[in-house]
Amino acid sequence: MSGTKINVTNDEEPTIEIESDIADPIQLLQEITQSSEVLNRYALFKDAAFEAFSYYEDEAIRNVDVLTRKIQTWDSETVKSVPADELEQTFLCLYDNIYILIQNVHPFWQVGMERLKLLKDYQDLYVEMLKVRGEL
Amino acid sequence: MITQISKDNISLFEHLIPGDLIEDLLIRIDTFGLGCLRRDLDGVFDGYGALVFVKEFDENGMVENIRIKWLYVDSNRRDDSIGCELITDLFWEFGNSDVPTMTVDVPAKEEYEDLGNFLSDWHFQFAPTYSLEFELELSALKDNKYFMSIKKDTEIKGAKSLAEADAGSLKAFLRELRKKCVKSGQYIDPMLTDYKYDYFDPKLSSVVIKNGSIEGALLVHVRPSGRLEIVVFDTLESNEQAYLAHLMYKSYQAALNSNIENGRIYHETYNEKGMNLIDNIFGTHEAPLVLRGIIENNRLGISTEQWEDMKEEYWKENPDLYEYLKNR
Repeated sequence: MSGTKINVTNDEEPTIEIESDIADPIQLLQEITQSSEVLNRYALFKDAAFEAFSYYEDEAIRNVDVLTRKIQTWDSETVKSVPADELEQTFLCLYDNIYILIQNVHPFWQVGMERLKLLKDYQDLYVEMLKVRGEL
Repeated sequence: MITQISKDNISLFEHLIPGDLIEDLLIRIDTFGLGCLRRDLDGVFDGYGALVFVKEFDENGMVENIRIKWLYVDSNRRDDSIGCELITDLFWEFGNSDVPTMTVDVPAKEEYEDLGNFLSDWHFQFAPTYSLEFELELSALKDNKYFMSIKKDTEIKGAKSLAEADAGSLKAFLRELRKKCVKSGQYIDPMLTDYKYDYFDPKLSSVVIKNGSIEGALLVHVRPSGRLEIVVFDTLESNEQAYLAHLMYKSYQAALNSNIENGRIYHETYNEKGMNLIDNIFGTHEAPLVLRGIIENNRLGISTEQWEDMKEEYWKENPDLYEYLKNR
């Protein structure tokens, strides 16, 4: 589309100048998102995102480990004396850490499915524990 | 905790789902709901969030797409983990199925930005498109060039009210319509095969009857919200457009006679062809911009080992960061 100009300056965000009346917002959006300036910038973000993911992944794996060990100390008898709030919060905290592990990879790549399986197993375990406590 | 929403537990989630979708959950065979339960302050489980999705079937009865219609977390208890629990449950079902795609339409409006960001975190790839839903105030038709001449007592030839046809001929018509959809590769509304008696309003729906059988119909269902939803909108042969005009007039007149002039008519099409037809009848309409998010199921392939290799390669390229994290 002529008349649309995308300038990348030294500022943090690319500035986009629109010189003429734009009839079709979809076409404009496509033009902007497919421009090499924006794609190059996105590649930088992607790299930074991977860095953050890897950092959080290590952190999350540690947390899952700690919480799993805590849950393993509860058996069908002792779980009855755990306060309801503590039980729920422990599982919710575990889920939150597994969400980070799932979000790190595309959810339908094999790794994502393995981690979803881990989540499902703990969700089922929580339901089992609630049944043992007579709450379901 | 996630639970399937059913007749028995829907009361826990009624405050989270619009009335029209609750009706879908109870009646339609293609609409399903997941609910998230959390402990309330009094220790009792209550509905904190709900997700409603539709399984879109192809002509062979196979699911060709899962479409998320509604994802809502109680505004007083808003917490990302509730949305996460709902969406991961659907992912589990989707990932273990052969359904090729999962989609969600988010209106391109500022108030939906948080929802769009949340779904992007879960790897939905968004692209702008136009909504294929059509909604119009009934009162606006008073000035429409086709409808302005229709008054409460105008004689309309050709079309009759559905009330004048028997249930048997409607069922026969729906069977024919289904065959036509299969033949032309059009989307098949499950109400064609799973028709419940009285689902369509007999007064507001209009039909063309020839030799005792229905040849064309415009079938209207009144929603709990009062919206008049055109569920099946078709004639037997696409070249018989004149039928369609008569059917529209007849249904419009029925709405006038029922004094529901403040209602809204609603129709959802599955392709641009349907929208062009709407445009021909009502004049051009404004199609709201939506962002359609999609996840494809055929992206399976990377293994745990490959993922570990990717990470290892990354640490090799960034040894300083690795050292820093290791020593934390």
